[in-house]
Amino acid sequence: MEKAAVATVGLTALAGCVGDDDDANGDEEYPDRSVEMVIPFGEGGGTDVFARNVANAASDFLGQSFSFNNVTGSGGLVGTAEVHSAEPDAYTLLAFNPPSTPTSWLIQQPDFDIGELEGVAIIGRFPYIITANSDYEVENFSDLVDRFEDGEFSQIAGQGQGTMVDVVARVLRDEVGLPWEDYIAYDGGGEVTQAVLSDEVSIGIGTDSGALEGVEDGRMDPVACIPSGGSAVFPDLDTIADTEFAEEGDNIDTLAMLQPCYWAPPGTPRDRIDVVSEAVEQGIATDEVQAFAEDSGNVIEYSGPDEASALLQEVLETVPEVVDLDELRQS
Amino acid sequence: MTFAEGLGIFFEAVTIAFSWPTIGWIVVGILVGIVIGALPGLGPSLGMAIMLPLTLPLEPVNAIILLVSVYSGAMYGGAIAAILMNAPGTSAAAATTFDGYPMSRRGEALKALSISATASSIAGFFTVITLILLSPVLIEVVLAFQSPEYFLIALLGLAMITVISKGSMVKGLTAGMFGLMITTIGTTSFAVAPRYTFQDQLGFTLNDGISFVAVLIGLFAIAEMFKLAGEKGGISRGKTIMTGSVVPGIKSVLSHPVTLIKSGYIGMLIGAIPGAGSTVSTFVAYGESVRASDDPESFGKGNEVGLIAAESSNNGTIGGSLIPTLSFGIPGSAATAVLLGGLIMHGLRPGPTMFSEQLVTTYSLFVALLVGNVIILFVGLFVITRTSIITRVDTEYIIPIIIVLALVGAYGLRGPSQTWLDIWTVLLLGGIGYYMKMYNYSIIAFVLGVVLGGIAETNLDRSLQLSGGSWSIFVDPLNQPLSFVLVVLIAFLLVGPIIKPYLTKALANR
Repeated sequence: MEKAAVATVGLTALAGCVGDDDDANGDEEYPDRSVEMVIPFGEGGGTDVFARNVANAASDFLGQSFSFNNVTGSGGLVGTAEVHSAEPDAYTLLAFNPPSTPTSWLIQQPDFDIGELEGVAIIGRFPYIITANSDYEVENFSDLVDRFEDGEFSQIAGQGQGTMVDVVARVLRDEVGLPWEDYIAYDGGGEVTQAVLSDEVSIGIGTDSGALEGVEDGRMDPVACIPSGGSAVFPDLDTIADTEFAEEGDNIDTLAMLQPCYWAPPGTPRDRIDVVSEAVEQGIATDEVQAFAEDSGNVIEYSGPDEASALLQEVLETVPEVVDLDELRQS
Repeated sequence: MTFAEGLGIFFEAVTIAFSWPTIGWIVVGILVGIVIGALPGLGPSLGMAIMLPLTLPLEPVNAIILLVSVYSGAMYGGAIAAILMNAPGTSAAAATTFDGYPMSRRGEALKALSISATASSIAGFFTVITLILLSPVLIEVVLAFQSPEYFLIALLGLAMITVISKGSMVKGLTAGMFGLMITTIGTTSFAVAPRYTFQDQLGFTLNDGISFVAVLIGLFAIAEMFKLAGEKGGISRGKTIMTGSVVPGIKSVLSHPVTLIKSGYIGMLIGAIPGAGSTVSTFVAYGESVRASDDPESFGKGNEVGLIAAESSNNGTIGGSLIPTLSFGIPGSAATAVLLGGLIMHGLRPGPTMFSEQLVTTYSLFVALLVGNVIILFVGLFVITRTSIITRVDTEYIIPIIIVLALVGAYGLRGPSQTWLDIWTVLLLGGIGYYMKMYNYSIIAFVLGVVLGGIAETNLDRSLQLSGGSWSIFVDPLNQPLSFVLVVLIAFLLVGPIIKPYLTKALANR
């Protein structure tokens, strides 16, 4: 846990140097009232807790409070559609975590273009990792691949069908070479942890912070961090890129790293986005947010509007390349 | 950890729970919870979600205690409207309507409310004490339940149709199947494929399915209002003495200790199983009380034992549901999912440490629940019982109020894209429920189908996927002893009523 904090603080300090000095020249009127933050997932969920904590800290620097509105449904697309068509005045913002919501958009193809959203900030990251029931003493990713090839394992557990985890599992099989036969879907990340802990399914995919409880209990082992960015929760855990199965920069790096971000409706003036983004950057640097990061095992670090927009485009390009969307829809 | 150390930590937790402002937050939480729980459609999860952001300035322990108190208060509060107006405030209170509302109709609202307060608080109390003593073992129990066991628990609940529904068995099964059919609407859980979404007929698709809470609101609250509209006077048809004392209710609970204890523990155990939760546990406990009764025919007509069973099991689930949430961060229900968010938001990470280094926090949550149950008892007996006057108010005033409350409840259920769907569901099911009652189709059987269909389907699918399509996963006494026991129980439930007369006869002839 303490290692997580060190990594985070370091990166945040670095991010602090890249800040923009120009926003004093921007729109002086903005913001003169509270800003609505639409969270397209339920209260108390991962996206919600992350988005609220950072926004509450940012509000001190923005000079206005945020009012939160959880608009759920269709894998986050109901709330996303609402903000997409909102007035582009930066008084309505949105929180979701690529690559998950853009992937839902690609699969469901609703009649709005998610790629038009303006990035405001990337506020953190957490990777998917592979876990195993500790009875099997899986040593590392190579050992896991061998044991799948030998037929000792054939199933892998993950959250939902046609979801981001499903996509990651398929890429692991088709591009990385983890030959699983059955993907067993569960409703939530907690259920996946439970399935691995109780050995209903011996191997699972989940976020690193979600796996921490089971690992500390001793019934679950982390086997490998899927993206090469590594895990702050398990800093000693090998990434797949550390083995011969993948290389840094592979598609899996983008797909298996969830990055909570804030967004604005298409056409929102850049100077207003910069005002919010700067407040977010300052909020992230506060002790309370970093203490939250340490306690929750998440990395909270800032990147600006351009990085957020670039991330969105990258996800929208990568996903259709690596998985057959039609197959995913029918699965 | 020695017993003495455990005791030391427990007393430290007691000190925390009774210190100011913690004790104040327990009171606030319970009262807010009772109000939210009493409004049809607004359950504990919504109440906690509303409170969650407001807890940000609080100390972590106080914040979590506040949330847990809202949870506990709302679970109790759900019973109030269920008893008085057949409008269950929460889905867990649906079973409370079966005998609680007929008691109100008979003019015994005051007694029913005092039974509900007494049974809820006593069961809440002893299940939490049990949890404090047994929490390490319960973690193993939680892990023993896997997908096959979840499926079989749901099936056990469905098998209760044969016990609970009265009159024509064909009508009972028809109603149960109708309930199951409703759960098949929407995107399937095992393939991202739409099923029975009626796009051509409706002009929009039912991708997210039908909300079972909307179904319950329609079935109970609206259908009953339609029925009342044809009557004169108040809900209470009996000659009622509203100034009566609460003592008969308390006595009634205390004179049924077996039902109370059995139902409380059924609630605690099923509550500890993620995904099953309070709705399932109340039906199982209610079914069990009907099965064990010498006079099953009187259930559904205002039998106090049925009310005690439903009320003691739903408060028993609260403590149980905290176990998987605190130990592994596995929320078993919408309410515990919000609680989990609260824990994380306040930097309290669930995990095994909650039962070792952080034990004092965990114990103070449990102690807060104990204190909360005492508050529920007093508020329930001395304040809530006054609301029984509502049953004397002319239905001309009651009906519009309940219909508005029910629709407001439906309005807030899901996101804006589902609002109209949920409102129409409430109204349509109100109509269907009215006619089902008129023609003696079992409402309980229908509700069991609606509540359990989804759980049964998802876990059946997953079990068969795990076993490679082999049904032996359910009847494997060596590898899956728990599912085998459940299968035997289900068989006993189904075949029992057929064999029972022969057995009694054979025994009498000996």
